[in-house]
Amino acid sequence: MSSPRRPAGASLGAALAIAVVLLWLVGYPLLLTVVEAVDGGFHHFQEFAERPGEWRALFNSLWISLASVALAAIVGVPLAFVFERTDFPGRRVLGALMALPVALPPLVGVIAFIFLYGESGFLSRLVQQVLSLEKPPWRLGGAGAILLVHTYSMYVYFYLFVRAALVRLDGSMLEAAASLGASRRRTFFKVILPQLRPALLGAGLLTFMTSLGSFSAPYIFGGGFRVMTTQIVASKANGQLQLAQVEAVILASLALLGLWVIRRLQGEDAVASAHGIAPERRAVKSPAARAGFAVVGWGLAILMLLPHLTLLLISFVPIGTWTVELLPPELSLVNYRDLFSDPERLRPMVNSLWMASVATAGALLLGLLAARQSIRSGGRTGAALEGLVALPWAIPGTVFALALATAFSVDAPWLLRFLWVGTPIILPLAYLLRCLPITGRSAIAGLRRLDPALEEAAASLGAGALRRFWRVVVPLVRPALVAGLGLAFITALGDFVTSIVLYTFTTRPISIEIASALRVQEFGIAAAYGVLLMILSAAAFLVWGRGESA
Amino acid sequence: MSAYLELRGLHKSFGETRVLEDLSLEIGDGEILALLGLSGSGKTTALRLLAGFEKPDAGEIKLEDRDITALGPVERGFGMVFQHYALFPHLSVGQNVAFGLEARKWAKAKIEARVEEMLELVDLSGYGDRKVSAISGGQQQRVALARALAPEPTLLLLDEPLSNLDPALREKTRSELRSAVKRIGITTVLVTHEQEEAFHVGDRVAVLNRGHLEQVGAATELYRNPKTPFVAGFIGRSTTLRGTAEGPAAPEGEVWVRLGASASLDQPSVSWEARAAAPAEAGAEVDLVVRPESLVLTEAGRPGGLEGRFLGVRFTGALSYARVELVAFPDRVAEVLLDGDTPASGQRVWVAPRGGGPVPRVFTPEPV
Repeated sequence: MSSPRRPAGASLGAALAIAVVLLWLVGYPLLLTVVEAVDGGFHHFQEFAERPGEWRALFNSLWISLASVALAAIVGVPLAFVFERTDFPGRRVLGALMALPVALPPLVGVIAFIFLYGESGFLSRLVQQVLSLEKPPWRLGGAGAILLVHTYSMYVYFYLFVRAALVRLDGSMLEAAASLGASRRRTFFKVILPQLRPALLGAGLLTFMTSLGSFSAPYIFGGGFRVMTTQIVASKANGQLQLAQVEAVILASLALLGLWVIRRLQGEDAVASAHGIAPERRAVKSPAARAGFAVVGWGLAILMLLPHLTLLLISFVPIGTWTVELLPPELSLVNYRDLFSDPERLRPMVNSLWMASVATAGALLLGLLAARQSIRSGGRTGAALEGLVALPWAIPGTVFALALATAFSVDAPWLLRFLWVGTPIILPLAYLLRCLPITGRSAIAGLRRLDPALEEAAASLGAGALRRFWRVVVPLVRPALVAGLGLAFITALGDFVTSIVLYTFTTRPISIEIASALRVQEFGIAAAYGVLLMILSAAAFLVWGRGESA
Repeated sequence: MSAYLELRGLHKSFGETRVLEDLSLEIGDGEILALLGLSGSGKTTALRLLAGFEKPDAGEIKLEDRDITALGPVERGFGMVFQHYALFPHLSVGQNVAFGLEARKWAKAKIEARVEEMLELVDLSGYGDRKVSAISGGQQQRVALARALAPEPTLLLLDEPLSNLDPALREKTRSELRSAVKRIGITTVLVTHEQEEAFHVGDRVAVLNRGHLEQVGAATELYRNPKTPFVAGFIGRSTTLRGTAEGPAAPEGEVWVRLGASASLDQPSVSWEARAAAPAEAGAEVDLVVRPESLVLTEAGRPGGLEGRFLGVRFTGALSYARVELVAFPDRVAEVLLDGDTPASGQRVWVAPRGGGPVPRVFTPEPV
């Protein structure tokens, strides 16, 4: 008999409190944005519809996102097969390195690409030198540059998802296909590919949503090429707040539509449960082929690492010393000294660190409480809570930032609206809400694995709700939480997309400082900030990664 | 004597599903009551109502004449051993046992002494610092018992406490469990789907079927005097034969049942003596439930013998049972205690009542 097992003492009050907080912080700002966009009729929508530039931006957003999905799949899926289905020297180390781009904050990746592939980057200098050209051979910009960056940072989704699916593949199923007379080709298309469908759809969804919300690459490379995210920020900067709200509503609708379509496709998947043993890797045996694999593998790994290495090198180049030479003539630590000695340069780092820490801690607590309530309530209420927690993920960052700017730029406490824009509250709050889907999702995953009998046992031993939460639930879901915590911290630390809408001079984070250093051609400083972000992100992964295994 | 624990008229539904209907039970001080039933019988729900994890839709639970129905699990102060033990994996053996004492704010020195005492009780002295994942299943079961008993609960609840042990260990643990509980003298409710476990550990056994209490009683009582057809079929082996009551019968009264009357003409019908579980009228259709040890294989022509074909032997070690297909009951295989020679497979045999075993019981057939 399966009775709905509810931990003891589930109270309506707690469920209500959590729901109210989530509705207020997540749902309400979005609702206000919609309300203000249609305020007094649809004439701003009309204005949107009458401008060809707006339509072009919408179209660009859509096709850039679809093209990003295609390119990321083309790069990521074959790599997953190579690293999961064959065996060659260095496979494990290289396989881990291939996931590196995902840990690079978007803006840092973008500036690394400028230094590497931009018109005064290493590659174009090299080509210019070798071919003795007068001018740089190319300009890095527009849609091509955006797609290049997207492919580099998002193929990792396909790579990781498909590798994970290949590990779960049941080897006996392939043997069954072979024993039924199916050729390798037929087995691939009729057996393996259908089993990979959920992984492909999952990675596709993630790539699509990330591309649609992508801001850093279009902002830096776009120039005249506008997408919806840059359009929103531009409209708001021009003081056309209602137009920005209309654009935000349209972009959010597109995102939710994409989410809905892919979720529908995902609905019907039937995948054999992972009871079998993954098929043997095909070992690459012939020496020539082994050497070939090794060369290609290491080549790819270096390609993946080049942006990081470039950033590191540029960070040692003093401002104004590198002009036309192929390699920088002078290297020193002067940029780093500047960063730490000049209080105005140090401030963004302090800002980013405290805001990311506060936001991550808050997202952790709120995510955990919401997840617990969602699982306790179950049914529709539970699903609604889970949806609210995930909503900031589905809504592009620019839209969400604009929604917060809309909701919290008015002092009307009786409407639960406060004047938080321009204060140090708004950015940590924005980071918190952007991280909430990450911490919430890991909390839900952790809690689902928690045996409800453990809490019942604690209750029958006389432990009240608080003691059960701190002594039983928290210690047991910690591994799952910790995994989400690292990712949440890195997301908050490197955030650019919400920061650019909501920052003030005194609360500017590292990403804003990188963008302004770039604008005034202080490349060394921008790179040094980028390197510090990279190191902090890596440190967060290492520290929490260890915590997880303990 | 008034009961120590009393369940009165408990009802519980989950959505449309009625899981428990009108469950009433009384349990004496220091008694071990086993709730026995198949999955879906409501026994687990009954235990969860007792523990306070669920609230009944109707009815009340009284402990020493005090109504505790509204109390939650934290306030009830009962000890519970869970089916999968539910030991806290992040705590050591000692910390698990101490958990309830800390929750009840015992003094530190008292906690230490109590943990030591409890570990000694379950024969696990010196295991306090072990991780719970580093001890065997049997030891985990004992830790769960020690943890439940440590805060001196007023009632002990056991949810299939032995189902996760392998059969060899289960036998031994059963005795240990019973003696530990009896030594402390704590009133205990045990839930199980295993008859042997219920009979071995429980002083009395309550049989639940589809949310109804069928019968409560000592093991022998349930076996020899089942009050319902379900109990008769569920407890021990038996053969059910449809026949006609030859005279009216009062409950527990003697009645003769005519068997095989409707069979083909060359099969003379026979009359067997039985005891009625419920009143029966003369000529009414009844079900006769008979234990294997109340039957015997005989030669042809003996009065009361039903003809059949010998199918084979069910061997259980000390005893063997003949499996016989009766001519008059082609859809039934009768089980007969075998104490003579084993017939050849397919051989014609006769089955007749034998004295000394439990008297066959007669029930009113359930409407189909």
